Amino acid sequence: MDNKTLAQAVRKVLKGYLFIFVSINLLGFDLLPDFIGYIMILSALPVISEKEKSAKLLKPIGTVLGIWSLLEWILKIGYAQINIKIVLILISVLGIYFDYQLITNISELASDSKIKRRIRILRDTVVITHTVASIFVMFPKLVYAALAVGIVQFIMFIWILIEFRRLAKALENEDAENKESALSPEENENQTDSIINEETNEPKD
Amino acid sequence: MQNIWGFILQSVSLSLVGAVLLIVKRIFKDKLPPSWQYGIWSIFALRALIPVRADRFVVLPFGFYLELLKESAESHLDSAFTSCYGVTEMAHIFPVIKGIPQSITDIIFTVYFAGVIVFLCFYLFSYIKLRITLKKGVEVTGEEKERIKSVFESKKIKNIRIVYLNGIDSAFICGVIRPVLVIPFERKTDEKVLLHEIVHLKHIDSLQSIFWCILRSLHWCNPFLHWVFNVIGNDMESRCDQRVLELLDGEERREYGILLLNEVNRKYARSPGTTSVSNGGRNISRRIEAITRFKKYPKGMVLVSICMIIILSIPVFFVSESFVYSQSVYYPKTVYEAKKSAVYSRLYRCGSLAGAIDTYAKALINNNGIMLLTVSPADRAEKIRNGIKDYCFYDSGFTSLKDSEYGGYNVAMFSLFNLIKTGEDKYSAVLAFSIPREATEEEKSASPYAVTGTLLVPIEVFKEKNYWVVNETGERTVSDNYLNAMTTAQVYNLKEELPPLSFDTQKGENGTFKGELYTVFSFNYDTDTEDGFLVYKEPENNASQFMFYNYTFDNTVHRNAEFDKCVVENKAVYTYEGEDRERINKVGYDCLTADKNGKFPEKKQNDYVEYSSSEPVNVNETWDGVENAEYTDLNRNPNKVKDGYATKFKYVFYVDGKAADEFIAEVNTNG
Repeated sequence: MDNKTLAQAVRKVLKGYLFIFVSINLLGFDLLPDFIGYIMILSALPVISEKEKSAKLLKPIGTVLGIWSLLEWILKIGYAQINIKIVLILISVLGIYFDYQLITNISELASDSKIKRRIRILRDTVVITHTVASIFVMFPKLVYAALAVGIVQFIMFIWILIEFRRLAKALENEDAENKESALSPEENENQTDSIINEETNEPKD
Repeated sequence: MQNIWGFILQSVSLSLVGAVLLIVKRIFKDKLPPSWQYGIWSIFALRALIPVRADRFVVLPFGFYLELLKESAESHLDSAFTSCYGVTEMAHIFPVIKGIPQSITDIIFTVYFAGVIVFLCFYLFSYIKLRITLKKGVEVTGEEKERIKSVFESKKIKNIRIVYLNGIDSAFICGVIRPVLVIPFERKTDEKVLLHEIVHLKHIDSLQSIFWCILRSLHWCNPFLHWVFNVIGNDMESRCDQRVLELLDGEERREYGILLLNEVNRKYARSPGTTSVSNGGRNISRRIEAITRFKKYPKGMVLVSICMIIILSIPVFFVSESFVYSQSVYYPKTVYEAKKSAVYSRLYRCGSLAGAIDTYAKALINNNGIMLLTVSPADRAEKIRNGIKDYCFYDSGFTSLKDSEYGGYNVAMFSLFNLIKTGEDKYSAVLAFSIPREATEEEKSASPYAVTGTLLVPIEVFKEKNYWVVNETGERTVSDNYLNAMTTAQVYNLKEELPPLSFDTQKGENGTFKGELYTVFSFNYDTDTEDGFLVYKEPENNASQFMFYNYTFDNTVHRNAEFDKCVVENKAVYTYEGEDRERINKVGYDCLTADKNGKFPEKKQNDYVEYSSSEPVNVNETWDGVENAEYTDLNRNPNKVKDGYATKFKYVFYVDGKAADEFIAEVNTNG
């Protein structure tokens, strides 16, 4: 599994999260539907799980979240929504686990410890803000506080995506460096021949 | 818990929580470690300890349907333990028998109560018997004792008594305060088993087993919960297995799995106060499966595990009541709908002081028994239910006005006066309803429109458990005077009927002041329009037109309403007693309201109400009719009044343009 492929997988996850966290609504129609984001992430999982085995565990949860977001998207077109509290809570729990595990797996791909550390700190912040917002939302008087926490969470997520982009670039650079330093046997032979030829063609005193 | 309905409510609620947690555990079976799988049962434990409320159900409106079933069953019975028209409530989760059973539901509850006692006695008896046996047991001595002690001391556990017992297959811990390690006499106890028991000891699992046994006893007749408790016990063991495996390595872990096959204690299985577990075949395979999965659980999941538990516990502890009454609930059309409405009225009551007053007033205006049930004390519920006709009609006494000189018209508007705090969560007030009446000849000559009178209803509003209720406290009186909440002059006309909030007589340097205050409240109404006609039923006698300016009356009940504006009306009478003067041409008066810190705003000297007389006002004359109204927006004004009305006013009196006297008046907020 080369780093370039891994970098592509990370970029897929990045794009997937953009679909999930950014909504462009036009007449009740989300132009960036969440379910497409989940499809993109799920397609990247096999690659990531080659390096991080625990990423495999995310497939069923990601599938459920994807189906749920598709259902929500369809219902929103008809101005309807599912308001069954227990279902919403279960989805919230699945979502929080999914994000936490996926971000952890991606952070493990980084060889640069600084990137790894930053992603993990941001991951923890997102999880905590998600939990706090879930509590605040239960109290009508705290709805503004929930909104403020939600904004913080959104900012943290954008920051995580920036770190993902850095990680993808770092992986691509590593891949390029590895390719430069590791020459093929043919290239080695050619190089040796050219050195020998140069020595032979040098005028003798 | 005093009746069978309380038990059903509690047990079903706990079953639903258990079912949801089992689903969640299944989803995360291979993703989160056994410690989380057991830790999540903390939500179940907390739910089991907290009495359920019938109006707070997350998964299904089970509480509502239980209340409906209860009413249908109990209305034909004469139960001693159950109030047919009251809400099923529990102060705690333990059953209590209060009286002699009279009905079949009382008998069923008594049988349940007996079952709880039998189970508790059985567990207590088996524990006492075991302790007696252990007291007489053979102490472990010699090398075996040293070996076992060294294992315990390596994990910082000292002074544990170790006893042999015949007939057991595996070691266990017995006791909480002075735990005893019980080991089989017939064979040597492996160190890995000792580690397992050490983990139990460190997690005080013996105490937890007592807790689960008590819950088993309380829900002895719920087979699903019995199964859930077995799962909990198995999860407890799996959690211990995981901790032990973390201390072992390689081949030792495999050996541990083999040891498990021998870990069956049939004799003292699931005894309270012990860590003895009955390990059926299925559980053994489950535990071995968990062992093989060891190290495959993703690492570093502590934070997200805790957050997931918090989110899952939210609906158990933070569910808010969000029921919205629709017109069909207040106006049922069939017997079944009427029963449902009656149940709604006792489950979803008034959550605020203003909401209770609003609901009561509209119940009277609409002659609606369902509205009245929502806001009446529990002891009046039966009388109101018996008085309801045609599914929702309850005569509030307003219709009798039709036959009086005020006859022919329905009441359509109300205001609240003199809200006074009389105790902790207790208020008195006067509801004033504008009742249209025929104009007198004199009034007709002045205006082509008929006028209204006012019906005054004294009430008390207080909290009953968590909700506000209303009672009438005196006779209703009728005044010829017109009432409009926003027109202050007419309020003054009612001074004979309404008791003033405060009565102050103060002698100043120049004069004497006597003040009277009244407060008027308005609510957060959802008005459709600022300009409009009053919404009311057409009078039978359509002789006159009625017009009310700028207000649209909202006939929807707002049971959680908040006060929106407070109008403090005051009247001042001032007598000038200053230096002798030939004449006084102008007098003026200003009323300033103090803020919450007791400070008065600055006002310019010429910013006051001035009265000029065409005739000079002589010394020692008294003048009155100096009214003023302070409109206080309760939502925006920092002077947000405490308990509904302002408490401090400053009156400044001006004579011929100069401030002559100043008086401070404090409202007596305790009536």
